Amino acid sequence: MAAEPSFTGKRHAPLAAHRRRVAYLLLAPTLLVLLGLSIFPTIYSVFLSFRVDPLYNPKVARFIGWRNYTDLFSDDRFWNSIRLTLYWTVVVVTIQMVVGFLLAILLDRKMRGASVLRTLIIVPVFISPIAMGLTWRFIFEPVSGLANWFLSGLGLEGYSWLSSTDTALGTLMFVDCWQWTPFVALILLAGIQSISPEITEAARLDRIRGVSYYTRIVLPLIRPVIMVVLLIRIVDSIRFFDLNFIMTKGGPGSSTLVMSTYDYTFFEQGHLGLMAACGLLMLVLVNLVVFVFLNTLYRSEKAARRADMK
Amino acid sequence: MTVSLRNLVKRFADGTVAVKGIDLEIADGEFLTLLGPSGCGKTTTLRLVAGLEEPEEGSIHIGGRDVTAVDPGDRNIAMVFQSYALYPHMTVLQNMTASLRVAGMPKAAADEKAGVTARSLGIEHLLHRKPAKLSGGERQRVALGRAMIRNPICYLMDEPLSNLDLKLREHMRTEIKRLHQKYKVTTIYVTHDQTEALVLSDRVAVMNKGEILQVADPVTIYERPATTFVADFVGSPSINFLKGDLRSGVATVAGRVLKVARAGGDRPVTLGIRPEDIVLGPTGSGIFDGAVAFVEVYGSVVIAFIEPKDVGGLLARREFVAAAVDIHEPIAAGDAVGVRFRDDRISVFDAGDGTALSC
Amino acid sequence: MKRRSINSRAMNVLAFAVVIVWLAPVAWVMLTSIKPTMLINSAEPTFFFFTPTTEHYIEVFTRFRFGDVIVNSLITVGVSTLIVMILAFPAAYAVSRMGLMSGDFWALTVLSLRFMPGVVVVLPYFKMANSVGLLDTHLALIVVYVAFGLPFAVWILRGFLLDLPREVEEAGRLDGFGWLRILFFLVLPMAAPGIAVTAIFTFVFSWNEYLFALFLTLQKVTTIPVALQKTIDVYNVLWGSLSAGAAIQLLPMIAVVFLLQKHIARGLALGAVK
Repeated sequence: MAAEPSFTGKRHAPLAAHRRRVAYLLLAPTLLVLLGLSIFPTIYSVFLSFRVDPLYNPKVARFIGWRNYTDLFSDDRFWNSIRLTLYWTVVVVTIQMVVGFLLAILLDRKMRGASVLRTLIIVPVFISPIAMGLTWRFIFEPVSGLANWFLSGLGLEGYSWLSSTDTALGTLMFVDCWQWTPFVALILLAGIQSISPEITEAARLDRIRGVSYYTRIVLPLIRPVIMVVLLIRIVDSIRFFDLNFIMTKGGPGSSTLVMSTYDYTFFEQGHLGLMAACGLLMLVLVNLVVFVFLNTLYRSEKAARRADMK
Repeated sequence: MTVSLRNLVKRFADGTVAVKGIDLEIADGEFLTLLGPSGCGKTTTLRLVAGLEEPEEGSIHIGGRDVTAVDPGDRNIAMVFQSYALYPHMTVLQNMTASLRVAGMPKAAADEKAGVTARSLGIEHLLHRKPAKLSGGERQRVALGRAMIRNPICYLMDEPLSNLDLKLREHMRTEIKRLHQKYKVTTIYVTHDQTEALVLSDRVAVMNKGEILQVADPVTIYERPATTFVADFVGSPSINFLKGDLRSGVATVAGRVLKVARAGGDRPVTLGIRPEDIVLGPTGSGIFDGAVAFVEVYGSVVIAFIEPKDVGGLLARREFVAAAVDIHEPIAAGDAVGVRFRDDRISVFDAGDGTALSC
Repeated sequence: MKRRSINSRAMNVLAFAVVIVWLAPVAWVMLTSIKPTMLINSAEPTFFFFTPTTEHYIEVFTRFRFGDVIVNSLITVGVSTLIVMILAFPAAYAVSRMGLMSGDFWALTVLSLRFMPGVVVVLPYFKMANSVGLLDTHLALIVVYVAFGLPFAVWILRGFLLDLPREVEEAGRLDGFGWLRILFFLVLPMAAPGIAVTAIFTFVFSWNEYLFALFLTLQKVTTIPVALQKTIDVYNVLWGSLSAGAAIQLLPMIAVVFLLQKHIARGLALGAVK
């Protein structure tokens, strides 16, 4: 018969402790590798950021305190690159999420070639950014490029695409979205297809169709998937480098000079200290964004999920 | 082997107390069932005995040995999981011999043992198949075989029949009973199905909200439930509860005095009477009259649901009194009847805390 | 199982059309790889009516020594993927079985390392590799790819492992299996599809990797992305060779994606939901 539990104090649980030790043991090699290859170099970068260390003249390397940082903060191009990076991220991620969702809906069908389509559409993500970057550069050549050839065939005037400060950023955005929207689409599609068919049928019986079906039923249900994809794309967009480097290298002028490209210019000039400092500021920015993201959007999501499960 | 649970308390990380100080002594060779609704703590208790969870307080003794801190694999017990938990990538033979091979038994000897066990369960023709290719009943028997082959000192079974359809369930129930009669190994069985509990067990422990409400043999649980919860949980169709009073040691209901004596001071009481202990007669012949609202046919037994007439506030729950009627006696909706009880079969509970009052 | 989708013939056609148009630039690259050089550089683009040539593929293997390059890529990416899987499997298991609270924390920590901007570590890697004389070796790249593939692999694999039934492992414990046995004889076989998917992801991640390959290799060890870069010099892009090289680089990706398309998307979504 149950009696009042006598609370003799917290019990020592040897089996659970043993399992915990094993878990840490399994995790240890990975953590060590990451410690050595991620944390350690970052610390080294911090160290480097307080020095001047010209690549071509290593003998002059010495400690200079905060000067790299103050130099950066007083450089207009630095602030410009941050502004550009944030602008870039917001626009590109929004387009990719919206178009990606539409694309996912389009690909969510039961016809025969459906899986072939889904396989094909992911190719832009996997094809070498260098090859595609150059190809796009070729396509957008003002004189002999396909784009203008195409437009002239329709009787329209051509643009200077990557050669003009007005259109270069937009062109880059187009290419980046072309490459990554399928990635977003496929992940969202997987989320959509994981919705139980019974829910879909219930909605149908309730006459919830079309747009309201997608806004009221689908979107809330795939919210966790959306969160993850959103986070990944935001962070990747802040770090945007490959395509930029191949296609415009920050130009013309500094119209596409995002943070990573800006940072690279220091490498070209051989100012390793500045390069490290700028890179670290970028790291700070990324972590800041992730932190804000996780604490606002993600936390409410987790709370909602806990409430659902009760 | 005897199994002793002493003052077991299990708290989970989110604060819920799943098991609130359980004491239980299980005799050697006994078949004991933990019976209760979902969330009552019966599975948690079973897992504590298995060693898959550790208690915050209390101790577990198997065969006189304190195993509270002993690894599950060293307790010499076997468990049949609700989902059978067969190793999906191994054949039936490998599934069954796994524990023996880990302990060092050579393959030939282990395979031989598996053959014997498989034959006794009628699955020797499945030895080289993988779980995916087996039916539910076959998987269940493989799970049993895997447990049996180790000659454990205690079996733990976690709702092993709940994934089977009715016919198969009844068949396997009989199988489990037969095996227990034959080998007499201590078994702790968990289920929410009271039929299983009553059929299979030497004793039943009814649990709710982490506590044991009553431990007794099936007949006692059925005929002399210790609380309204136990009375209600056991027995199908469920027991009728009527509101009454205890005056001077005698129970009254609907203003009529019953030939039911109990010890205790005057107080409001809840009377429990099972459908099969209700006798229907012509109007005026019983404690009160009523009209048959509808009738459910269960096969040889028919349950008539009766709405009491002119007696307000009689029923503690539901709107009908369920009475069992033999199928050969004609009764239909609309009939007016008089309701009488078999006085020696009435249970009396305190209306406040639901505990049974005794004579 | 019926599923609601905007089901009409028009939509199906639209889906096909969208995909075809979307892939047009890729098709262009493929076409270019088999077009004779003269046609590539001519003012008017030609699309279909030409005689295909293998001259670019030949050039890629002779002049740009693509054979060696492919081997380099296979070695660096293959070995690093193997190492990642060896490390990630136990780690993902630990993180998935450690109970909700601390497991989540470790998972997020590991994942956050994936968000590291390459530029932050490229330089230290360069200096570190230089100081131990590992510049321009396979090992340097392998180490780097392991570092960058590991977080994501752990994240994805964790999603798969969380899906596996715990009861089978518990049955193993009761049968007397030690944790090592449980890990390798029970969980590993059950998680095989998840492991395959994670390995694919990790491989793909590094196959196209450019930044580190650029910094850490010079002459002896060139991977495909860097080699492609060499088809460009100041004045001229050798489009034919570039396209041929890109086509070759794309080959394993297509094969892999086609075989495991369903699992890949599911793997990413699983990692998301958990």
